[in-house]
Amino acid sequence: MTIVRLAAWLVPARLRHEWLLEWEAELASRRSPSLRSALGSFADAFWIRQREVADLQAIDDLRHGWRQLRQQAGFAVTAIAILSLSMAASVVAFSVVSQILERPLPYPDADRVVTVWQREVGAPGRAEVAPGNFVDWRARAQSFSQLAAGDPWSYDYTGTDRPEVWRAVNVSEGFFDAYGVAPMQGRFFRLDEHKKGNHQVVVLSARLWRSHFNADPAIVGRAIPLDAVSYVVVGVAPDDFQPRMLEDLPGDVKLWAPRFIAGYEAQSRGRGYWQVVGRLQDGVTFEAAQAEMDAISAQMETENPRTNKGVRAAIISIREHLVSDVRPAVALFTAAVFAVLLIACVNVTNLLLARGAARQHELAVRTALGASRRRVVGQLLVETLLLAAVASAIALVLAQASMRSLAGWGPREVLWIDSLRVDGSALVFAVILAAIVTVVAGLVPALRLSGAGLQQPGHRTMTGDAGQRRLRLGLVAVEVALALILVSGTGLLLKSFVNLLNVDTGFQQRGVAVLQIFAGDRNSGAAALQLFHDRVAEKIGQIPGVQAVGMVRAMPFLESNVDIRGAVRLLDQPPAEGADMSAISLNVVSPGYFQVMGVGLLRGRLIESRDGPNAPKVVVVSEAFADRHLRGVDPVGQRIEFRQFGRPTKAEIVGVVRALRHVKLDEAPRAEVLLPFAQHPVGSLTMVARTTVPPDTVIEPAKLGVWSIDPLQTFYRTATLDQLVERTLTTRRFALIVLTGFAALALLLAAAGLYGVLSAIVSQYRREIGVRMALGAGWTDILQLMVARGLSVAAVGVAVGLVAVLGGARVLQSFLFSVAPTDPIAIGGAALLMLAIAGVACYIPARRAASDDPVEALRVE
Amino acid sequence: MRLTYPTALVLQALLDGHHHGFDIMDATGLPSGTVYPILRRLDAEGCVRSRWEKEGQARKEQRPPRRYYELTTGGKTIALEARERTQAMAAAGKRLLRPAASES
Repeated sequence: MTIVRLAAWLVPARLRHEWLLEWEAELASRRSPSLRSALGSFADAFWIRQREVADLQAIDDLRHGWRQLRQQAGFAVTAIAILSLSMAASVVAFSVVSQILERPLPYPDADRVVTVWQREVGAPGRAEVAPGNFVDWRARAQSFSQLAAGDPWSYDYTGTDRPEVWRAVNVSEGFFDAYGVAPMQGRFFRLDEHKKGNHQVVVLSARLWRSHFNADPAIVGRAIPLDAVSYVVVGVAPDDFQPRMLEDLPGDVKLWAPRFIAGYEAQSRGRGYWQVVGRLQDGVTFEAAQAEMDAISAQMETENPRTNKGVRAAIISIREHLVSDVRPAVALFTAAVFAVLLIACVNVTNLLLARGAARQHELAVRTALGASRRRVVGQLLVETLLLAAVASAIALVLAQASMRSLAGWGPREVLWIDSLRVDGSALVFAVILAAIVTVVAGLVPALRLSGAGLQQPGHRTMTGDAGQRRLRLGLVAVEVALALILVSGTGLLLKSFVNLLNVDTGFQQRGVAVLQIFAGDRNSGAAALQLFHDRVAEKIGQIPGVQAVGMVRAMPFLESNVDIRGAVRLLDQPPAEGADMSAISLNVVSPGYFQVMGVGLLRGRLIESRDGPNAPKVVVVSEAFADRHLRGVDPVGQRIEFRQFGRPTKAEIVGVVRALRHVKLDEAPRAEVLLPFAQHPVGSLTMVARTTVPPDTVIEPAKLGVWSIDPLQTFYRTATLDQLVERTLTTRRFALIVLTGFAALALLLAAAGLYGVLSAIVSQYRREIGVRMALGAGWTDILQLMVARGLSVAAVGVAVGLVAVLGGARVLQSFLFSVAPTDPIAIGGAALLMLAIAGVACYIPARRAASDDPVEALRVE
Repeated sequence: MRLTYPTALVLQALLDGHHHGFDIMDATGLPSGTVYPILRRLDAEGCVRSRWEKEGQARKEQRPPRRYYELTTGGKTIALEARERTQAMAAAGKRLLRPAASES
């Protein structure tokens, strides 16, 4: 329909309405009309226009332009290739902005839907909300027609022979109303279902309903086994309802269940774990709501000084919550696209000028025969428009293809990246872009070529006029400057990436399989957990290709860790100055963990099998713990105290292991205390196995092994350690690849521009060269002269580019890792590369000029 | 009148009782960008006339009313002529092919 509406503009106004009705009716008669049949409307509209309107002049120009381009196919192909590549990138950038950043959300009045988070006063960011705070907010705030909380949860579904974990959100009253959505089947929760005893009901996601229940409407009212209890399905959520609150977990939310607030929770204000969504009352502005929440936060602070000191509520619109993380990357991408597009335009301008020099004769004849200057400018612009139009059509195809492939390798953290496509607004954008390109690239040549100096058809400027030469060299300098900016940016990103890959994680990443098991529900008590662990470890150890097996509670680089932090006290030392020991990571590991992960030992010993339940309590600490909290003391032999399961526990440090990175490569290693599993059996077991075979191949046998022990046990997450680390790199790798692509394109275009202009100048200078050579200049002198001329232009461009890079590189800061935005190696390298390529681009035409026979050169005139 | 092969196909489709633009596309296998200009030209030359479908029919089928093309008397003559000509050509083609076929 959009296509037909666009085409309708071509139809004369008198006939437009009826024409549109006809086409719309025909398209409506098809269930899914093909793109091709819709595009035919353009042919139809053109045909009608040609017959009805006497704008023969434009058509004439088009025909003439078309002939011109066909005669100079080489020029046309070059210009179209340059334009279509850069325009395709522009279309992708536009689609990313319009379909990701500005995507319409599937909620009525979506701009009134907000998320509310906790944050420390003066600190940016958003933290999850403690239940007690949510209860107070909901009771006091007047700005919201709904304020509801979601508690990320998971259920074990045992309705198949391969039990699964389903990600879920337990929601408080009004959760769905805050979004304003209606169920696709059945209903959402009744108020009385948010009470203990009535709460065993669920709403399924549409995708789960299709994948596991055959989209059967009769599912409503049926019971399904979850966590070995039976839950009744009361409804199915609409298709596009997938509010992403916890963005860092892979996969969809599969179901929702009602949350009831237990007595103690209303007073729990410590660490938050809820996510709050609200709908603003009609007429209440965002700012008014934030002001009210600030006042409420201040009240709560006086009432609960111990827990709520400096705690504020931050209202963030749902859109901002979903897309703010990708904004900087999109901005970078758009800037790069813009630079490439500009370079491409400059290049085409140069091509047009070069071709214009050859066409001066034709244009002069036209002018002499009475063509007005306006007519000549119009004709030249139409030719550029033709180039831009063909290029934009190709660009749309390229853009569609590249957006398809983005779905495969683009960063998964970016929402909706898999639904990118060329849509109606992208088509409109491509049309507008073609018009802009026409003006930017075509206007200067059109004006110059049609200007003075054309009046005498006989006058042929063999050396080209100096003004035009300066213009073209200036344009090349601009290209070089723009390209340098892109190349330097890429250099900085590349250096960051290399630094990142060389970060010492403290473990050996290759060949490790990871299975996260929550065993606490089905095995209660220390003895049962120990037994389950031992049997699982034994089963996995028997799989061919498995060398070693270990367990850990908080696995490095796993998103869904049970990561317990607590206060640690040194018993033999005063606490180190300025070091906070109130939230140290307390991890639990088996002896095999160190072996599987290849964790290096720095001092003392590792946890061993002799550290059993009845042996003296021991711990191993990380290098970061020793450095921060036991500076200048031998950690081995020191005693510490911490709480485990609420009980104070004393233990002796027996060893120090290497730095351990836990969340991201660009994060400092954390201070960690590692407790032996045998002394502290826990239910969250992440089993790790070192394999001699590809680690993903042992995951299935490992699952079967666990099911042979307990057929109802589920796996919260399975992966290889490589995958877990890789996941944290995708965004950076993506930014790097995209920018490298653009930089390469920019480099190529700038080199081509330099080459083109120098070739033209050389051919204009043939006479001068001939004279010089006839007077005894050697070919090396000529070569030097020409290369020096070209390089001086490039040097001007590099100088301008360097100023821009040093001034603007701070923009890149958030993408860099242990590289200064003004890193001399990255930027200097880029400048040298630029000059080297410019040298090559100059050398080739200069070489040709120098090897000319001087007699031939003199005979030109 | 210039009778190109696509024009002959469109006339044929009209003769066979296909009356809407997209139905003619299906019947002839020609793209919309070809069929429509041909219909417009035939219209301008008086070979076809177009009308809008009755509202009631369209509403019954819950869609907007479609434009309806049919041959005029003159158009029908040209269409029949065109059919004869194509049939004659086809017959001639077969005759030409026959000796070749018997040789093999």
